Amino acid sequence: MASANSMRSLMRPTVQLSPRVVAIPSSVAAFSTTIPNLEVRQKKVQVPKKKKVVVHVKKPNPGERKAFRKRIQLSNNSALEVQGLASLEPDTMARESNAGQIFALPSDVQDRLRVLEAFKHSQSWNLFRKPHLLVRKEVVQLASKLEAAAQDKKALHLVLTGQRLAGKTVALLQAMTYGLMNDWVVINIPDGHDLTNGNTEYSPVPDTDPIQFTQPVYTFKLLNTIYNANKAIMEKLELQKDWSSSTNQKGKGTLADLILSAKEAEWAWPTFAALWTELTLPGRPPLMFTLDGLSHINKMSAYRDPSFNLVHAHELTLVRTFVDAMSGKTKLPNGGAIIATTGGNNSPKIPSQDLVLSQLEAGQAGREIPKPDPYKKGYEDRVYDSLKNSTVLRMGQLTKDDARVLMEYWGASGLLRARVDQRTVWEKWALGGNGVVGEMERASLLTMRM
Amino acid sequence: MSATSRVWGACRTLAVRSRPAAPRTEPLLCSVRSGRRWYSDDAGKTQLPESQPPQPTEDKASASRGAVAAATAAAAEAGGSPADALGDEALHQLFYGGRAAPREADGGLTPAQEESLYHSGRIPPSGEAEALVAADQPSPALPRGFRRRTEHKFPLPEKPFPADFNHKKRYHPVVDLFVRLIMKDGKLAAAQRHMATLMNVLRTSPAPIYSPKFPLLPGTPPASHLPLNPILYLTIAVDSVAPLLKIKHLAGGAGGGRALEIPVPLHLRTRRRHAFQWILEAVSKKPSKGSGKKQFGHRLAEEIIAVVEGRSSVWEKRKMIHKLGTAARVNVGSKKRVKKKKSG
Repeated sequence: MASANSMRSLMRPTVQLSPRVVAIPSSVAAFSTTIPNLEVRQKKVQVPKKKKVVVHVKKPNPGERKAFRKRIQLSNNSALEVQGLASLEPDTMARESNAGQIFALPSDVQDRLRVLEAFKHSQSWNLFRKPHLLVRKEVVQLASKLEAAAQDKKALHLVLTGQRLAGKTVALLQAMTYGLMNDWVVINIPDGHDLTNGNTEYSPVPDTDPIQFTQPVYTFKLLNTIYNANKAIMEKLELQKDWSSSTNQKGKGTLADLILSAKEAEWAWPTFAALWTELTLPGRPPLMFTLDGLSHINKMSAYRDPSFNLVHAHELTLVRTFVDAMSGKTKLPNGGAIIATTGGNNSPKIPSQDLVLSQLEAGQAGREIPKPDPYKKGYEDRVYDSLKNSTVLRMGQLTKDDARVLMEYWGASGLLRARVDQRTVWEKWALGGNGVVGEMERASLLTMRM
Repeated sequence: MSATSRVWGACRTLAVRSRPAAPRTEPLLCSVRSGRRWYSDDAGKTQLPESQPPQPTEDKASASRGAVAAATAAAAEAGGSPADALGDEALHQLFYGGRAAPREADGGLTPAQEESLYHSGRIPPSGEAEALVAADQPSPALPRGFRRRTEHKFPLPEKPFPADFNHKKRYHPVVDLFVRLIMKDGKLAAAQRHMATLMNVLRTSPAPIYSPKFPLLPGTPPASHLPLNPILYLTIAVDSVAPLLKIKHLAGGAGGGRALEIPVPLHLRTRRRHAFQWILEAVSKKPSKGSGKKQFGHRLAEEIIAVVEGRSSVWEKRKMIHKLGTAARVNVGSKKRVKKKKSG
């Protein structure tokens, strides 16, 4: 029978049939009369390989590099301490008389803002001895609206707009400061695109059409943040409903107990939903829900549903909570504020959002209301409807007086070595695009011409 | 308006500052060449044979000179040449005077002293610095019959112009030099960003701790003055660690095929360039420990702080060159020519 082995034996003899005499290669040439010296071995010249000098350095552990890059430093011991500046009080920012002045941030509020991730690593808090805030006239308007919202028990729906580096995120921080100092419950989403760029886990909610998704890990982290930032208030408020069916909280307790009952990410969303319902019952303190990066939650997210279609951001439950509060669908019976910030460098263009905000601004200013472009695609009704009941506050440019106050503070801290006179103030104001705060900082503090 | 005057006009509006002209101080070894040498029979003397170069007349300076003289006398008694006992610090004290490490009680630098440091590489006493600044002011007196042109929107620069009034020298001398050394592929803006990061890291770092083993430039202000003045910090670091000389090799000059080593003094810009290139080399060998765009600035700042604190490897390079120079000091000013052997 023909087998593989038989073919092999024809082509290649695997077994040597007879020992063969292998000729020893002689070091003597043919027809030569030299006596062969068989003891001479062929010397092999050892060519040493060049060894690459490997310097063993200890590499940083995973996560250390990012932590170093994103670290928030709020004090610089080499900077000078600025004397004579008052500290912020609960009602400071709402008083018209305090416009154009600099106030120090109290340290307990500073810690709570740090927990809420209100400070960004791209801001220049790390250059100064202690964080100070300039109370601009837009911030006075914002604080007065917050004060009115708490007094009238109405929700303020606000969108902060403005050009790049105009100070929108710092204004949001100042709103959060007002909330924390006036015993509001403050919830902050530091970056909208964290929710929609697909970097965090998501899981579907059953029996929903169109299918909705929760983000358990993000929500778990958010619950911890809410607890740590609002600990004192949470520990005082008692639960008014029974949540034993949907959460781990059995029986009576405080809101703090409810949050802490979520031990795993799996329980995070039901616990957050319970917490949200509790906070929107009457008899609670005013609620502030802020979000930075509105454009990111008004577009298609990077997630896909089981049919591999892209999921719109509004189908994510956390985003849906914010959007429902912003549109007024969820009422805040105790008053409060839902504040979103637009812009930033990395913000996609959302036609409906731009349209509704421009219409609102025009309406507020008494100008002609712009109409949608009939030849443009991409308008979405749900984005339009979510924002149509809000107010717009534009962060504009600083006046020269505000610029002078700010630069005097920088000079007193020892970071601006130039003489702070009219010429210098006007020069930096002009270099900063006629008073854009962030650009002024870039021209004065983040430059090599000191 | 001609192109030239537009350039001058632009410079004028950019920065209103009064700069002293670079004082015409001779470099270290020139003064050595001019006859002020230690001879073996001067071992016991406390003063040099000729009059000393101007030095700050302070008790501590004369005390240090006494200490230096004692050291050289001791070395001479031990049998070696008096200059063997002179280390870097002693040489510095001899030619510049003053303390190696400044006391906290000593004041900081006046603006005139700072300008003098940036333009000439040394920190003169405050009186001398003021005099230099005053000497550079243009005389306001105009020749008779000269009519001021009043139709210029921005004032023209006033004559007589300072000696280095050139558009290529319109930026800060230290910062400009270093930024261009950092620059790669012509990307000046990127280099400027790295420099800005470096400055901000220096500003947010704690005050350095001076090391007594690595004395800095004489007249260095106390350490607490440095972080908030990052340009001064950078200049002190680089000027302290800059080599004062280079070794020129004359091929075959030493006989028997060996090269003759001739120490040659370096000018200010060259000294600074050498020092900063050593620093950049040391930085390029450091491993990356972070991420993002600010890594290079951070590493550079760490190296500058290490230089000021005496922890950097750049000090070794400087020591090596100075050692070679001291060993070959007999060849200073040598104009030896090597005769080329005729072939055939």
